Amino acid sequence: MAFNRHLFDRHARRKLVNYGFVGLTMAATAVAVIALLLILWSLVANGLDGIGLHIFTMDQPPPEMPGGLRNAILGSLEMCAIGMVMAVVIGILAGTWLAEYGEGKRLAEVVRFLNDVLLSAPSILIGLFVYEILVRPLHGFSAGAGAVALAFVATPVVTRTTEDILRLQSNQLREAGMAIGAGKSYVIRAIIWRASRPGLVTGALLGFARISGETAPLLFTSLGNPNLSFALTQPMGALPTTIYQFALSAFDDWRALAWVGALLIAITVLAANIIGRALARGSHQS
Amino acid sequence: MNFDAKQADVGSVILPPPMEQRVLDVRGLNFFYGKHQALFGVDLPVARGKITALIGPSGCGKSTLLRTLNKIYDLYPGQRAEGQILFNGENLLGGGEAVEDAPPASGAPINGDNARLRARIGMVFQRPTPFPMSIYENIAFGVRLHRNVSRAQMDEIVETSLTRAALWDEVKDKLDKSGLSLSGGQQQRLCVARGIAVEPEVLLLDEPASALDPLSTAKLETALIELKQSFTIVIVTHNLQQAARISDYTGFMLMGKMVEFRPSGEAFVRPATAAMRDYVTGRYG
Repeated sequence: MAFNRHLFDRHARRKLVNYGFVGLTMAATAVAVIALLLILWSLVANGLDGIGLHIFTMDQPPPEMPGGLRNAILGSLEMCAIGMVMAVVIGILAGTWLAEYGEGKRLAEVVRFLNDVLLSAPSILIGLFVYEILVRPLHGFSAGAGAVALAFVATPVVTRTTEDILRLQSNQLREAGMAIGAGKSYVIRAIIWRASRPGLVTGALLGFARISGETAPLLFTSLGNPNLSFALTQPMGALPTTIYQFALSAFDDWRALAWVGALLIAITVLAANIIGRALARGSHQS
Repeated sequence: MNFDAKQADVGSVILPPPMEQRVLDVRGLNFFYGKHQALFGVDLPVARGKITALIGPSGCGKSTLLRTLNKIYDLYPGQRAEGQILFNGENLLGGGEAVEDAPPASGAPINGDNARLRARIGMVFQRPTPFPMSIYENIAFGVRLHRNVSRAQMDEIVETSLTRAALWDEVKDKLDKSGLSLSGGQQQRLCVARGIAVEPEVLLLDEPASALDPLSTAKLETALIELKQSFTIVIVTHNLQQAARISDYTGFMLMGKMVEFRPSGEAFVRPATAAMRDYVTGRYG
């Protein structure tokens, strides 16, 4: 009997500890989810009213004048697109080298480590770095420098996901390609990349989500521009820099526009993440 | 052929096919994974137009031996082979020097060109490995690597290969569907079709049925027996019934050595070595 009671106590204690632990993790999750919902709620509550067609057809106004965010939206799109092209080309090639050719090589370990450092580097440092190599020598802020800075932020993301995704492919698939007489690089391009396509797209979307809201790399590079401009050699407006400028201003209508811009970025980031993850899940099933 | 049982129980018993029939002839092969030696002086004569089965407990080196025949191992930097692998009399591991007492030459020499070697020695793996493309493209992929063919010729090659792999009837209406959409057994036959579309002389199969259900296995075996008419087949299998059913020659390996190599009928009815007798009666592995 004594033995049984002892056993019961032990089970009861274990159950109690278990409940306590589950409760803690649930509380932590709740804090994170509630914080996210509050952010989204404040964006929607403050930004939704300001949204209208004029946001997309008019450029940012002087204080107390009607206007939209066209120059900032198009500027963001242009710099993100150019930055992503650079990041995807470099990132996929670098990730492929790490996964397919870097096995056991010292250089690969160094590259992987530096990539991880770059991945977590404060983006303002990247902005300063590009300022030093592109803005100062060329004597001017430019959209091109902004795109390069964004590429520096996105490249490590793409490199990392590319390497991870390619490593998921079985060695047997590689061997099967070579066993039929194809060379290694052809097997990678024609079979491994194709098998990994959903994952590679996911990597690119995650990179895009990362840079679409980046402000710091643009402050010292593309600077911002109240007028619509597509020239890569000139300063260019972007949503994050415009938000930064407007949100700190004393004018109510500017601050309202900042909320709208923030809402647009949040929607873009959310959409990119959801699509990216949905694609990744699809690829695991096939 | 009679054996002195006591004598045979000691060493190994090798009863090879005649020299002139050997399309592949492995002699004294040592194989290394880095510093670890996995094969010790292995001999393997492979007769043209026959099915040769390799059996033995896990880790005995039968897959390793198979993987030397198309030199797929040299994907991995630490792996190397020593000895002779004669393919149509040409030593795949040598620098092109003549080999004494070699089987007759046939076809163009390989001269160290792995692409050319693998066009003539195809391979099917343990788990199905369809490429991430349509059923049609899975077959066309390998053909295009080695030959220029018109669309009409390619259509014909695709149909013939799938027919010979006993898959045509099941997929003829969905050739544009992904190869990954097929069942495991169908995928494996697709891999066989892909291998034979290149028209190799030899087809290597590494436990091709281990991931298949009995019905799919039966279909695959039927296809293999048909294929024997045109190809030489070397198959690694854990399934002794399978080896006995379909093979002409059987090699039994143990701890990196070829212990017994004989015509399958005799080998399974009356194993010559104690080790193989223990293995086929279930006392091993």
